[in-house]
Amino acid sequence: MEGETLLRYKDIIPDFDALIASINRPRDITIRWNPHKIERNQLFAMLRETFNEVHEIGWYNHAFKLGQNERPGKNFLHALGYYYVQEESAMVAPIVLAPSKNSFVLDMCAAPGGKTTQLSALMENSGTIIANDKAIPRLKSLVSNVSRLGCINVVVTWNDARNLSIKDCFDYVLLDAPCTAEGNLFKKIKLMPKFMRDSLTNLQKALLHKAIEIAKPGSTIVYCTCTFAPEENEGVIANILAKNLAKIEPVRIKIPHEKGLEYFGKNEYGGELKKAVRIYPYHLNSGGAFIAKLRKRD
Amino acid sequence: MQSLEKEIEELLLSFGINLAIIEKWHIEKAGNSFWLTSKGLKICEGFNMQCKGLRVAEKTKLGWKPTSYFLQFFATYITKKIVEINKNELLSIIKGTPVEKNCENGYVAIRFKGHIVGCGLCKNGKVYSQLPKELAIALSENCR
Ligand SMILES: C[S@@+](CC[C@H](N)C(=O)[O-])C[C@H]1O[C@@H](n2cnc3c(N)ncnc32)[C@H](O)[C@@H]1O
Repeated sequence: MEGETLLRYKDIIPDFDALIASINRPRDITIRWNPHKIERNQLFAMLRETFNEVHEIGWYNHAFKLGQNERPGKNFLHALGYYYVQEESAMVAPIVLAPSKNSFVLDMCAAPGGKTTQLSALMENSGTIIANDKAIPRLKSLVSNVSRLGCINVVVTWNDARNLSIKDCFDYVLLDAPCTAEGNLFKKIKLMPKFMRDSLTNLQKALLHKAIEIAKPGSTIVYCTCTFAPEENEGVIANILAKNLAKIEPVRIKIPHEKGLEYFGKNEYGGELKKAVRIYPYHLNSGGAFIAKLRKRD
Repeated sequence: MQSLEKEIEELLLSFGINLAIIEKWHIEKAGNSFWLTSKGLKICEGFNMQCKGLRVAEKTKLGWKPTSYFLQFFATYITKKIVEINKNELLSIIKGTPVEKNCENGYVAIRFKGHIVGCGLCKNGKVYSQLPKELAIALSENCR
């Protein structure tokens, strides 16, 4: 069953057998250190006392990998806000955005706050992050995570981001778009029907268009999803590039990944899309991710 | 130095927090609460704001009550009004049964296993939990 549905991507995923194997394998459990509340070496020592297996992650010294049977969300150290439980693949987009200290950042679709709290850590709790979401129940978990981690540079807002009427305002914009989340499906892979994907794709295009409008000229916008579907990834970026509102820049990361696609079936996205990256579950034994970095034209 | 309102200054000093530390950040009053934010926190028009920064304290009948997340955030700077409790005592106060402690009346910082976990209230030699529900649940399930 899994193979049937995923067969849609057989021609674009270089190691398709590894993908099939990976969706049936338990994912690695990873956590991200919260520097607002504890020193890294103190946390590392506490983690080693608490969990049977703790490994440092080479490419990112804020992250630790635990044994697959551990439940770090159910732990005293978690309640104290010393870390955030986050998939390794989800930690990449904020690093690509790389906001500088004291900057003005918009996290357009922020709940429950995994990337917001990571951006806050990268900015050393300085400047401002507007963490926005339109779903009230999810905002509750966003506020709770931001408070637990002590992110004092975060303003939580409740807006349908498509309706924001500001322009040229932010130094950095992260758009972690709502998507079909195919990269996070575990064991039961049933892809969403086409009509649902089409409606999501329209939403994604509208949100990215708005993200570029809101960003300052010359600023960085990162678009990411956790899905494999090219329509929701390269298709959305190609649509924006065609409007000449922004240019695409290479995503440089030190972890295994594939380049963005130039085409899918009859859809041509263009050579520029190779600058985006695709992370498949077999790369990090984590979720899937697509990340593109854009620069708004002056 | 930022001129803090007298009431928040008194609250911070009562926990032994050196006011110079606040220099790095900004504290402001909004409604019945004080909030801690980064310096120069901005918000542009058009956003429907739910909250900004970290709530430091809220006004109660008994005076200014520090929030548990604020006490956790300032854990390393707190030197006064600390009440040590053990696992059974933590579970007891979370369940609503106060424990006897030799402490002065007023809000205190509860310390468990060397970590400031949040706010408590001392009344007539007994300490009561003032932890928010979500934190109390998380701690009671996971302090074992
Ligand atoms: C992939 S999730 C975000 C995950 C989050 N960035 C994190 O790292 O924890 C996508 C989010 O987009 C929000 N969303 C969907 N449509 C939106 C819209 N029109 N405006 C703002 N947020 C929206 C959803 O409520 C959801 O929380």
